Amino acid sequence: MQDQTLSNKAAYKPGECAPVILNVENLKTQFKTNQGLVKAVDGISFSVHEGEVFGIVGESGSGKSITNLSILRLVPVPPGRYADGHIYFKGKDLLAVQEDEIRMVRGGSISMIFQDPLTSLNPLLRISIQIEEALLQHHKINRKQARETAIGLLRAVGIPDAERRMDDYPHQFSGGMRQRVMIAMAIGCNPEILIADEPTTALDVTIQAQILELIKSLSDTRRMTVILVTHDLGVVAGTCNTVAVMYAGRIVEQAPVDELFAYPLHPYTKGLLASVPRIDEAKKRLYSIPGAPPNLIGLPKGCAFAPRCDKAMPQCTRAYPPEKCSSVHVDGLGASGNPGESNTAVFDDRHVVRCWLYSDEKDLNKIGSNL
Amino acid sequence: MLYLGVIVVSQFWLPFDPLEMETVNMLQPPSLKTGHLLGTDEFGRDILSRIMGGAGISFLIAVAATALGGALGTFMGVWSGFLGGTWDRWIMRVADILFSFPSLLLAIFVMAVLGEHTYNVIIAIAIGYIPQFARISRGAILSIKNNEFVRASFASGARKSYILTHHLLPNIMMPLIVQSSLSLSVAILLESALSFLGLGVQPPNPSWGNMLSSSRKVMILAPWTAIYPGLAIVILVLGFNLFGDGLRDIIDPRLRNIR
Amino acid sequence: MNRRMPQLQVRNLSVYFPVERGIVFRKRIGWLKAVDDISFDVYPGESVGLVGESGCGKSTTAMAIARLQEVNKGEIIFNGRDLLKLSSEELRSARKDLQVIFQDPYSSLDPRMNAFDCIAEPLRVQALRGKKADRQSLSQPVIADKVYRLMDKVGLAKEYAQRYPHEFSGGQRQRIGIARALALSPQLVIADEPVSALDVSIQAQILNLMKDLQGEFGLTYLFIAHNLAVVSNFSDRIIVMYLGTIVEIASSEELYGTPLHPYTRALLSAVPIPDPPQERKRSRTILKGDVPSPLNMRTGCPFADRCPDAKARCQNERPKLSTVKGITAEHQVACYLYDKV
Repeated sequence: MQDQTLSNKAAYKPGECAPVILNVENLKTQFKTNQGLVKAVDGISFSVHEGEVFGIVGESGSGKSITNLSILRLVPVPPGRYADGHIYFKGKDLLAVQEDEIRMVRGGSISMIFQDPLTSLNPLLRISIQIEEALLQHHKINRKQARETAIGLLRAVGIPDAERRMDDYPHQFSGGMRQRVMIAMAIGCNPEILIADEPTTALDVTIQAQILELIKSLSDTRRMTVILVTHDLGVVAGTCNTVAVMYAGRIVEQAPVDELFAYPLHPYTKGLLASVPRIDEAKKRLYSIPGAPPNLIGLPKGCAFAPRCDKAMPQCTRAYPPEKCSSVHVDGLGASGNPGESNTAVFDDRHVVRCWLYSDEKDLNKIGSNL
Repeated sequence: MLYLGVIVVSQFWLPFDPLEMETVNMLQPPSLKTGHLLGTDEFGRDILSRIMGGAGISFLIAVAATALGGALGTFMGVWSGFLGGTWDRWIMRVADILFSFPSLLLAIFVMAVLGEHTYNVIIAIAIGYIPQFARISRGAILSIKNNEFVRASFASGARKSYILTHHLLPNIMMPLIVQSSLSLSVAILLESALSFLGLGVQPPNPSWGNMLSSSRKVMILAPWTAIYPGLAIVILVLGFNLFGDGLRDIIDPRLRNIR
Repeated sequence: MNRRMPQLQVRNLSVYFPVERGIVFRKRIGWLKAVDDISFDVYPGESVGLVGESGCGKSTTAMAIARLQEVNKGEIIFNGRDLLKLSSEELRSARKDLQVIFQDPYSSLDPRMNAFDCIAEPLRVQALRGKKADRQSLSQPVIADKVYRLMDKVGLAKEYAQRYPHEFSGGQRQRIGIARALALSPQLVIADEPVSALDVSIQAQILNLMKDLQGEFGLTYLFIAHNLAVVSNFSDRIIVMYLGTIVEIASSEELYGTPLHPYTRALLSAVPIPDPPQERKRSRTILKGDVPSPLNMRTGCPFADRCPDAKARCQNERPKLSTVKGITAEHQVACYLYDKV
């Protein structure tokens, strides 16, 4: 099947790099609790390019959801706080702008959809009202126009009989349909970035496939950037262009999707890939990463994965490894899998990893001098 | 909040203090503070002692009634919630019928039927409590009976009664305890009302209610005969309520923090 | 494998839930056929996976076999005895051989019992029923010994025995649940989505643990899950369910290699594979519409209205599970596409 992900990106010249649309720099989001300070996100940096589908993978406690919420400043401020960092979008730091400005961004230029469509929609209001409300917030249109736009949106996300179903309540839709409604609401204002936080985790696998197709096609036709957060590596493999792996509030590895799956560098990434069962493989014993994800309170100095890592070295517990850019092993980012075929826009072709296995003594000394 | 819970605890002391009543037959005179700290009533009995004595009885009645009504109501509610189906519907209907009577009227009715013995007061108040406890325990049961650990217990071969006693009851204790403490305070009020009406504790046994009642005649001349019993009622009720609040706060955050 | 006696035989199992209307006086207006006339066998020592999407009836089937769910019709023959015909005493005794691991590590343990009591409970419950002689054999030191050995087997340190469920992580709680299920030394263990609520890295640990225990204790597993990749990795044979009926049964290799039923094909093509180049090359059969509800289903194949290959016959009669010429005998499918007629 022809890969449709990149059909419109022929708008870019082959090899041309799409512009960066969102730039997260050293983001630190923390929570104060009775037991101590939870460093949910501890200094992450990444850039998302226009039209890219950027995946963030991690397990529970990795900080991926908090990262999302931080972008839109949706973290409740007490007990949370944005301790450090910047989020640059269209030249402004989203963490520093006024409340009004960020409110216009939410749902307008940057939209978000959540995991559980059951609780994300108000059960007491008709769908029409909920969609129209979102539209009226951001556009200067009247009620009638809002309604028509809303119907159009429902059709665009594939809800049959849209006009009649506008007046239904959320519980009259199935899970997959509700998620489509959420997507309709999210794209209503033509956002430039759609943040999807585990959008398909609560759905059946056949519905999941439908929704992912929908997200991909919307991304194409509307030139929309997508940040997809999930724990499912299969979903990432099929939908994303670039992937960042998070562990204990930090990004431990980031690479183009083919590269990450073919040549994982970080022990955690390797372990994760080896522990996921695949239906195309014969039955075999899965590799399991020993231990459990760490408690985010009182994280030790150094690499948070060290206690579970079979390649741990003394420096791993002394300091957190610096970012190292490795060369990409997979040639050309041709999505059709043929190396060397770059008829597509290039997003981020770096393979970045933070692990002492790939850094040498010099860096250790550099950090050592700062300790 | 918790300080006032201590006040309640201090009420415990009263019944154990001198149970002296019916002292010197100094008729009428409401002499102030001549050894009688709170004065005397129309029969010359020391009000303070009567209050203390009455405290013991009121307390006993409140606790007994709450315990009895609580036990019966919980029993009904728990089986009703657990068994569900027709059992549930009929038990709840009985409870609802009881519930539809204002508790005071119900108590009066029961007393009229049973006679005016102190123990009957306990029964009367207890009956009024059955539906409340039934409702609460049923609700609590319903919310946890579908939890998987209940099913796991069945899977090991447990009987329904075993599951009730070992699994369900310990887990619904909290709302029941809170309800109990609130019920205690209402019980005091009910008992006072009954005694006031002459249906509760009979004279010459002291009860705050009948103290109030008998003081009606002399209230204008000797206000203290009404004030102090009334005050005692208020303080005890308040104490119980605050105790219940305090209890809820202790139990809740403990569970919350640990998570 | 065919020569052996099956340990569990399910025959024509049906579980219907009445749909009622009315507040004061209820009237039945229809049936929700959660499980509709299914039959299958489970052989000793194997792992059978039961998969399907929500509403397909797999959990209901599992609960029915474990006798935690009432059954309308059918037979559940375990070790030669029909579980549905046993008296409650006999059933309680039979439960020793048939245990369950539950899905939610957070609600499957009584929050007021510590780990030791959770694991010891099945032993104590069975002791209560027994005769005097049995009771003695399950005295406190005997129970303690068993519990500690079980904890060791599932990888929980003895020191944790006095801790309460909320002090454990999800993976550890699931280990307690597994230890509890093994306390009575069962033959057949029904695992109802045992890893669905766990993180990926913990999932692998628990699956490996279950496999090891199977080898050590000679267990048979009935593994229920909606994650096809997990099931096919874990199980020898897979039963695919759709709306209360079985649509296909095959070994896990064969199910992936030669899926016969159109629903199985669609299901397999929807499962994401963590391999980008492969994902792109796949031809996906994306089903239209949603998973319908099992309420008041009409006659005929339940998949007919979503099936890309549906014919007229499919609407009228429900196809029966049968083998197909040219494919191995264990592979059964319920579809008219393969009808020999």
